[in-house]
Amino acid sequence: MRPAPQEPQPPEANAPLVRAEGLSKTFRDGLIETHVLSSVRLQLARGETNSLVGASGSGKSTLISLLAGLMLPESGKVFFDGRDIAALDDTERALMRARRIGIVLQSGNLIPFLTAVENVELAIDLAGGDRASARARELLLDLGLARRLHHLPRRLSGGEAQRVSVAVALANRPDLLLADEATGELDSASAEQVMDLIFDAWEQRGLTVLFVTHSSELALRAQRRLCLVDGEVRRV
Amino acid sequence: MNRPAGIRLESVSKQYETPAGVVHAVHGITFEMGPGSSLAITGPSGSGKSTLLGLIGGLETPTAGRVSIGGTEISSLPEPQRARLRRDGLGFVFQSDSLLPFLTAVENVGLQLALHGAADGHERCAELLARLGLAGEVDKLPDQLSGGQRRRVAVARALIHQPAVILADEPTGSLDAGSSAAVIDLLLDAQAELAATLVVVTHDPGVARRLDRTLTLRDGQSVDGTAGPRQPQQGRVDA
Repeated sequence: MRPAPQEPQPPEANAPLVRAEGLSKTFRDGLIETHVLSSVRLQLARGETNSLVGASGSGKSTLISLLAGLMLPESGKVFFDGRDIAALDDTERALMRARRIGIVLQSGNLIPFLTAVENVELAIDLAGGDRASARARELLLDLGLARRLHHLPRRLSGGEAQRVSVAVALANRPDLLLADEATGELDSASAEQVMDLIFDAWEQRGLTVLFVTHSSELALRAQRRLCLVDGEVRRV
Repeated sequence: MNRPAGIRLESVSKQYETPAGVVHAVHGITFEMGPGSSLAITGPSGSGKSTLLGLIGGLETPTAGRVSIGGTEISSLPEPQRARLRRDGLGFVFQSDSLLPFLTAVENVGLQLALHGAADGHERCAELLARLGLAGEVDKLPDQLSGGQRRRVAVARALIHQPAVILADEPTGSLDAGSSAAVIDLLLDAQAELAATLVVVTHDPGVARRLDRTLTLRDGQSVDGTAGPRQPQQGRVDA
């Protein structure tokens, strides 16, 4: 039987927004077991920017998925604003993501048959926001995409598509922005531009940011730099 | 546009400029489909099938010719109007499911309704998913579903707003035979129920046989075309 959802507790001002304790995850393929994360401890302070680096296959994307509640750990817990996200049911977890977490992936963030502005409108609608159409336009204008409002994803460059993806992720005015190799398929100039948008949003809104990158240069832009090695998160 | 709508293409061509020269992706295609009819577009890889489907759905604009849906010439509409027509009147299914990985099945289906501000969105989407055999999967994320289940979610997303036209690009690609048959059953059932016009791009002759007619492409032209690249021709639609 699923445990009853916890009552939301008023968060302490100094409490971390995200706290992960003893997170472990193992993937099984037949008899082969791969231990991706082992007893990971991690805290993300409110309003702090964090970068996460690590070799391919080190578990960075798995960790992002666990923190977003897209995946549940075998052992350990993730607390978002004081709430154990494993204690939420699927609907509550989905609502938490829609309202409080923005996610940008390397690709596949946009619906291919909707224009840029429609993609952002959707994200606002899903979060229960109002004035979706007007706000989506404002957001894209702020991100320098005035001339791309009515373009389909297939007509956007890779950098433009990721800027729209950032707009989608910011549409719900999230407390936490998780970016998993958001710039992984971009040239360095486009990657810088996308990261500029993320850092601008952080400055203006004070959100908490965790971004995964292979670029040591981009990683240096974060206030706190983390590395995933041998299934453990270490401060660099 | 939720009333029945036919499709009409007149001498439709699409070419791209590339560093290697001009590519004629689709050339001189003309055909007409009545409301509620179905068409399979077949041909080898790279023959222009997906580009043609994109042209029909207003995802691409033709270099020459006209595309009309339900009597509206969409190829000359400004993008905002074309977007509205796509949103209101068309349902798309892609080979890659294109489900958003951080949304549950029911949220992915609800995307279309959210754009229309439907208040009963969640319930309607959950009901449709249940009709498609996914009652226990509504709150699962795409990663937690099998390939066949994900494709059914994508079909549900294409149908939830009861479109007049359903466009499916290799909807059975990468599925096993059983899942493929189930997806085609769903599309044909929906077509009948909604009196929708259905166009399916497919490599599979078995899938093509289940639709009313077939248009076969090679190098962007219908296979019985004899005209050169500058001379538009009538596309063959086999009964």
